[in-house]
Amino acid sequence: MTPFGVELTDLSVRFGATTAVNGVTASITPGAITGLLGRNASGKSTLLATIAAFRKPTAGRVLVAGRNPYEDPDVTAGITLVREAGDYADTRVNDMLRLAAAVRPTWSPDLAEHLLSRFKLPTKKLATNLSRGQRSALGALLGLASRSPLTIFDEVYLGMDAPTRYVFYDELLTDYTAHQRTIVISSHLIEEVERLFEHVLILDEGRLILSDTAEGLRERGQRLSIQDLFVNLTEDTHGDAGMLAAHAPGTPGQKEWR
Amino acid sequence: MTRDLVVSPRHSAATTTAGVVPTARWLFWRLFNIGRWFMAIVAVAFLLVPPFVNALGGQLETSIWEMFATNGPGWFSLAMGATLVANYLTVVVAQGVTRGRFVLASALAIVVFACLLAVFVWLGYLLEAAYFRQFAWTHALLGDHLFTDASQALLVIAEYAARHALFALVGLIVGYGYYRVGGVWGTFLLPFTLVVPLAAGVAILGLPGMTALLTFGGIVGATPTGVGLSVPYFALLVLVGRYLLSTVPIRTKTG
Repeated sequence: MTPFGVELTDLSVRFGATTAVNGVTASITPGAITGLLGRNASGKSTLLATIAAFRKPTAGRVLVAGRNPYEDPDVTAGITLVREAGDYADTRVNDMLRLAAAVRPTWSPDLAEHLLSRFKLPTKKLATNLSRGQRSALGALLGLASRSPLTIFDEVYLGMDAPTRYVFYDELLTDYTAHQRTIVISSHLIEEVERLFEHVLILDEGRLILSDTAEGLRERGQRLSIQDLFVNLTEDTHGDAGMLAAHAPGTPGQKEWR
Repeated sequence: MTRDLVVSPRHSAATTTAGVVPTARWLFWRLFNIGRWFMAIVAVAFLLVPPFVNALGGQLETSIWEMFATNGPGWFSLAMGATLVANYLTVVVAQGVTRGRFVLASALAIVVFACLLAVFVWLGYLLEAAYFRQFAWTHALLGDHLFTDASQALLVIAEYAARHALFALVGLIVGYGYYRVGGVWGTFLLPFTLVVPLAAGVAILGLPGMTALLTFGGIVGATPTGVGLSVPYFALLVLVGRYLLSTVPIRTKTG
């Protein structure tokens, strides 16, 4: 199945007086792994929820595979958003897998079976009774085994211990190599996941302040890791020091490496 | 692995559409898993009542199952309808199903579940009739029904299936209110999400005449006209539910 691309045009999401996402214009490359980075409350989760049609934008436009995803069943069937705490009901793990298998056109039962074993998940336990780490692992399983053309992991690692996180990263990379799709990973643990990124978007206070390839970032950062660059960049937006200046043309608030 | 940043997002969206029927099947089993306990508890409790009354030397003048069947499964269905939204909307949408399709799938699951509960009610009538015969009591019904005798299976099932479906579909609207604005404001919305649509539905079931509405909460009957008219009313409830839920932001659901 063709990976989905995403195009955001002047996208804003507001909750009353709070602007969670502010005029974001960006593209997410189809068939690549994109890292969405940002501090707490920078608008990452809201942006991802809007891309996944979990909510409507207040202003601007979201296109996934060239279409507005909101209530478009052909598009939403190809989007998987796995959120931090997981979206589970008081149903057994088995039942969650049955639902995914029933409605996900690209679901892989073999991969699901494999990941159940890798993550050591109990299938007969209620999803809501799983430990936090197991819930995260179940989310990772649902996201990976869906093999959706657009798969989004929003802080999915939270609660996982280090070995489980590395199982997740390895499985993600292995399956992505065999079944290329568009993957977006939102994470605080930048050092752990930056090796996966092909593109990086950085949000700060709801604004997109950087969009570039990971390779380009590393080249311009001169041996600095993406984590170092992220820290510099987000600190810079709150003060006047730093290595960044300029702005991408036509994108207010967006900065670019020089 | 770097790729050109200038990419076209216009890729084929020709995925297989997430189906209504598979979602409905999944939702039905969720309803069934809860409903089976309801039916088991009620069945055990009811099995004990007539023999208990008989053992005490008493006599039942009218059907107690009729009293229960008019209210118990209906309100239970309403709770189940609300539960579908509260418990499963987020979960199902997170699996790529649109809100609109969730409502259609819920309606389908509700109709099947309503029929299952109606069969249960019919079996209860049969059992009660058997008890009454055994104890030489008269099996009298108080309400206006499509049926005159418990052996008229299709009529019994049709009446109660319509009734249960009405309550459960109204439950979807109630669930919307709570999902959208939370517990406090959801309660304030009940006159609009519960009272008006349910009262209208009960009145329609009893048409012609308003006796059904006036005896709301008691032995409310149904007429052939009312059951027939309730079908388009159900369609209206589904459309309203679909319209309302299609606008709702998806909340985080962890249990």
